[in-house]
Amino acid sequence: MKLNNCKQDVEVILNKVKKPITYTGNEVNSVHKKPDENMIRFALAFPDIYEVGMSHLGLKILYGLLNQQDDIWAERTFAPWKDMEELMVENGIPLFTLESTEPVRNYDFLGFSLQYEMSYTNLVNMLALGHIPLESRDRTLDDPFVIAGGPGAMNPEPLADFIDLFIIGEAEEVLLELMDVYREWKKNPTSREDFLKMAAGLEGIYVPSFYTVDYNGNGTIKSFRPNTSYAKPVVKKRFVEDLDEIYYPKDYVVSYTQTVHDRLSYEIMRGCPHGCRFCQAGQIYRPVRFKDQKRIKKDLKKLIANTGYEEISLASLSSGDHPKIESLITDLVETYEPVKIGVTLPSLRIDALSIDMLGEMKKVHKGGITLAPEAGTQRLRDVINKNVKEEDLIETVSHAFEEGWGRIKLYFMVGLPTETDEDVLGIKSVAEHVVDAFYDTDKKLRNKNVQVVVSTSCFVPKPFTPFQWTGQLTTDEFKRRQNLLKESIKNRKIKYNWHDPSLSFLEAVFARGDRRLGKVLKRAWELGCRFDSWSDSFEPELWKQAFEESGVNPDFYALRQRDFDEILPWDFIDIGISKDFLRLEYEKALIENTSVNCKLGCENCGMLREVKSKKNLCYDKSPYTI
Amino acid sequence: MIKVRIQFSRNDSLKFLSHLDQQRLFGRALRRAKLPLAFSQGFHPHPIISFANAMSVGMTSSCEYVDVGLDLEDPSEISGETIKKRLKKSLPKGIKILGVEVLPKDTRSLTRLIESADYRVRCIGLHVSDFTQFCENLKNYESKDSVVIKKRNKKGVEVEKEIRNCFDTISAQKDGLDVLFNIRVLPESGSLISPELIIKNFLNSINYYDKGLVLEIHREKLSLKEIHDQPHNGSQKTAQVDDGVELLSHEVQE
Repeated sequence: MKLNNCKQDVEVILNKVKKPITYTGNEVNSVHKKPDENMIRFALAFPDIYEVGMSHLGLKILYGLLNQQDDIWAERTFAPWKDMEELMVENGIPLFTLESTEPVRNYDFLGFSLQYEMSYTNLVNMLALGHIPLESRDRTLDDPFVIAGGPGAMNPEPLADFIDLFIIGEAEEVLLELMDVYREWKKNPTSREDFLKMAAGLEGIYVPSFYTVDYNGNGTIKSFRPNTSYAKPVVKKRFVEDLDEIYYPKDYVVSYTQTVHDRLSYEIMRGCPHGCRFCQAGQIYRPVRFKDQKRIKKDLKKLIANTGYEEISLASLSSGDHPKIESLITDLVETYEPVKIGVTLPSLRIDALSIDMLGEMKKVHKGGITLAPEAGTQRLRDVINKNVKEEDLIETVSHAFEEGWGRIKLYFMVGLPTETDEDVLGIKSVAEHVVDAFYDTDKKLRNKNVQVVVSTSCFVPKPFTPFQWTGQLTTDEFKRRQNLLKESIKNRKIKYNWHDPSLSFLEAVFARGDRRLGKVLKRAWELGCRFDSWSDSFEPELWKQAFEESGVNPDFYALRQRDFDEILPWDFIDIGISKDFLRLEYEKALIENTSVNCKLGCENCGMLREVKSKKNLCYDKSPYTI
Repeated sequence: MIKVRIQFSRNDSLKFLSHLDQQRLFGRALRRAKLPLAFSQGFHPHPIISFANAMSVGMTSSCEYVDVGLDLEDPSEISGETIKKRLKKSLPKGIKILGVEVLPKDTRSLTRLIESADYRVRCIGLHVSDFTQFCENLKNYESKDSVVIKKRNKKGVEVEKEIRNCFDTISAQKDGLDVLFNIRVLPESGSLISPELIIKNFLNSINYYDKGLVLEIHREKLSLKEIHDQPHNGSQKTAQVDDGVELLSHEVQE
């Protein structure tokens, strides 16, 4: 039974919500097709509000990629804000897509983007609002296939009950293959299981129901293995080999309302050569791949013409590491400065920031500068393999001050492995030295005022990092260290912001959790948890209740130091980097030993074995080798 | 720099735009149209765009004006028709260009030119037992010398405000289950008050107001004090209001 289109019902309630424009769709470059019976209807779902989801680059790429296919119509759906949710429930309106206001339950696929763990209650809520059975095993042929991908899928286990299949790795590499399999199955759609079996044959597809997990008496995993011959014992991550050859959209949907990143983000490289030991993205997006300068310029020309954005952001994990970054920026500024289109980098590594780049960027844009030393002392920066020195930082900010910038944001983490009080107080010293650097700058050149904003997040151990075995600090200990820092900062030019440790605790539970967390997640959703990543929506007490009622101890996942021989919930995924390498990196961390980045040499993480093409991949095969 | 005056309508599909959203939309549409935009000076240069009057969220209109600065020396360098053609392609379907006029140098800014604004306000499902009496009441309201409303100022303090000089005529008619008001609002130091305030005040005065009442506000016409008699290169001068009304029933095409 199909549900009715909800266009008219939606129109009635929109007058009553705070931001109706985020539910109406019809933006410039949104795709509208005439559906027929054979068309594959794909709802791309982002488990957060419109303004957040529309800032996400991956969604734009997949939207374009799928809609390029004549027989596929990809549409968007986001988590409705609380006022909208209330009205939808009250009026019996199911979750719908923006383009056609069709209920998502009528679709062939509902595909979630998993960007952060704290969006998982929204995902469950969207299923419920969509009138789709929450758990995979209860779904019928009337329901869509609920699939998910993104960095969160690198440990898919906490969502195993809810998701029919996961895409492991870069979805643009797999999605069209999956659509081929679906077209085949749709000719004779026997059972959901049949499709999942066919899909499981593809590299990079994980179907959680095809695996059985047994546990030891102490709660750790005893065995994790397929329960059908269709499932692979090890699921390999998929990745794009050559960024110059892959599809990239020629336009983006241009929102009417202001989104979080309301600018033209363009991906110039993928992966990061640095190997910081706390960073999951740095490991899972290996190998490092670059886009050619010509391709970048060509794509941007079309994107600018089709969107009309007034700012370009050259996005990636570490854009300063693009081998042609300086000439690229000079070139782009030359092209776009006359029409007042700014060119920015979203994140900068301290060592990669050159005077020229600062000067060029300042021509059209003069916001603040954000730098991430991550730790307050050299000792701790060595532990985490953040290979920057305080001198580098001071040199960089001094240049920035000379160029007239006055606002510097510094990101740090509290609770990193081996951290002492001395390391915590080191954060204060770094910030003070930055302020000093401002006053050491020539008065004629520098800005009138200086502000240094120090932000600390709480360290969360993540899968597929050298710290994946580490226990997290308790919330009380986090609070003690935050207070220590807060009270030590006396300089009025320094502002201190910190994260709520109880949220980071929950993040740590789900980051390294297993499928037994499914019932906790469901219970938390039942109790009303939504938008956990929004500090004013986060309800730690309700979560506590959900854990208690489900008989699950969250400390087991977040705080416990894990043994090297323990089977980790994500061990069945092969991201190309060996577990031995991660362990070695962890051991090096404990003795404050650093590793070199991919530009300087190969540390044999294992990724090189995976690389087939000769171009652009891993530095020692790359034309960009330094 | 020269200025061009664009007259446009906004239909139902874009009624939820805020004033800022609409500014952004025009800024990007003008860029997509590859017009030679003029920019403000300073660290954050932005195109020079000014609307005659802000449209509130939920409002539709048959007649709006926006002035845009172009980086050209002389008005003869571009025609209204060229601008209209290019903008038509780059604007979303809910906004329709009714006319473009390239302005002579020294034209006064738009907000100072507003003479009056005509609104049609639909009160959805407003139940009126005796409509003749209702109209009589409205006549009395219209003929009052003083109408004072209570309003919160920016600091959140409730203040009294005399609004009789903010509107001219007001009338009502029945339309199916709804009541339609026609109201002419007059500017006070360049700004227009929302017709919603006036209508709610009237309904309140005869005990007809209910919190759940939904109003649909449509601006029929913005009258400007002086529109130049010599439009450039055949560009349209006045609003084709009929055109705009037709547009309102026009669904957004897929």
